[in-house]
Amino acid sequence: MSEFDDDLIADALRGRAGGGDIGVDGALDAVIGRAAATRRRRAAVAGMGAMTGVVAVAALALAGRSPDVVRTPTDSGIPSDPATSVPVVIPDSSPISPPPATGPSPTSPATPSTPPPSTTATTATTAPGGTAPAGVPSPPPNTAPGNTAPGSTSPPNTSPPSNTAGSTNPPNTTPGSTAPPNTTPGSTAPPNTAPGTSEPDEPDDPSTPPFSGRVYSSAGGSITVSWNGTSLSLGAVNPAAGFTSSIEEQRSDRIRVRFEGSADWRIEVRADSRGVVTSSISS
Amino acid sequence: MTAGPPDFDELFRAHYERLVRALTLVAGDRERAADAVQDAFVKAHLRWRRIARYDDPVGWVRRVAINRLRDDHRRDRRKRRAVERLAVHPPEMAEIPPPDQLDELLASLPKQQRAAIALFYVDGASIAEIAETLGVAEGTVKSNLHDARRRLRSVLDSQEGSR
Repeated sequence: MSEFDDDLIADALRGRAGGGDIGVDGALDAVIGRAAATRRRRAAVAGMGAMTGVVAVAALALAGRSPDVVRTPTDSGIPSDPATSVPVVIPDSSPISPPPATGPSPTSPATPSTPPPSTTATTATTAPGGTAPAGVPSPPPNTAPGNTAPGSTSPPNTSPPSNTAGSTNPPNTTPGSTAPPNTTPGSTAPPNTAPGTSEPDEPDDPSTPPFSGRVYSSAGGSITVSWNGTSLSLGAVNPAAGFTSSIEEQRSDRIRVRFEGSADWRIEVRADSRGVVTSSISS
Repeated sequence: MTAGPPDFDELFRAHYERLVRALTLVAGDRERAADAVQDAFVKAHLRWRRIARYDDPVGWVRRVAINRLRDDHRRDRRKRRAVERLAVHPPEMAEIPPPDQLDELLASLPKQQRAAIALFYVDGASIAEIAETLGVAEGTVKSNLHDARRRLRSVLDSQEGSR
């Protein structure tokens, strides 16, 4: 009970508030319908917002993949997809470091290694000099000591072929012995087992290629020998002035010629069972 | 046994009609009052899981409805002033019965007094609920009720005496 309770005023005000029926059920249906419509509208707005967000994200993603934007997979931390990744353009001036050398000699040029020096004159060839272009992976280095490529600092492979065929005949080498073998009659035989050369490994195919008219010279005279791959043949014997020649042995695997004069000189050319032709000059 | 949260439908059926009648006195128009109360119940329905746990869910609905009427009143006042500035005569209203003394008194009461007596005598709200609804102190509500009751009582007494 309140001090303001007053039935007369209450009745008068209720009468002024409006008589008649107020449709509660209809109002309740209207309220629930409006609430449902509001929920649907909010859901639609939220859906539109979500869709807008998805579209925006997709647009950003597509923009990020445009050709004028270069990205590497490591930038985003996402594994690269070969089908969709954008190639990275590297300027030409960018240095390309070669792959790390795995061989024992990092200074070894990238040219094919020369064949191991043969014990015969004909196999003592050298590969053309030069260096490999940068960035070209070098072939597996040949670890054979005698197979270092030209240009390396290894003396045995950079020196010209020794004319002192046989270390026991240094006094008998002629001044013109620096000429390439087989070019001049005065040239000495190519170096065979030249002193100072390192011991070569066993070559895969040590046989001497066929040759014809190779000249072997000494102070007492010279001979011309041909090799067809299986047998030796003596072409000519030219004794020096004051010397006489005699063929001591002429076989398919050995030719020996003796020059007699103020001193005796002997030139011997041999072919072993592997087809390797060697020569020796002695006095 | 503890009562669970009230059911929305039950609450609506129990309070809607009384709220509409009370706010009719405040708004001077039943339709406007009904719109305000329905808007308040729609908002309550959208937030019912939270509002149902309130101590006085009806008080929340009442406050929202009153605020809606206040917004309507402000909007009407701006519109009326705009019409006066443009000197545009409002369209002729439908003929309404001439107001009696009580209607004139109710129309002349300050809005806060009118709302206080409407909520107290028609809606049956307590002084505390009215204070919370109107956002004023309980003493203010009592003062408003006292002044309005005195003026209403004088009119009603004169009407009773004239009979």
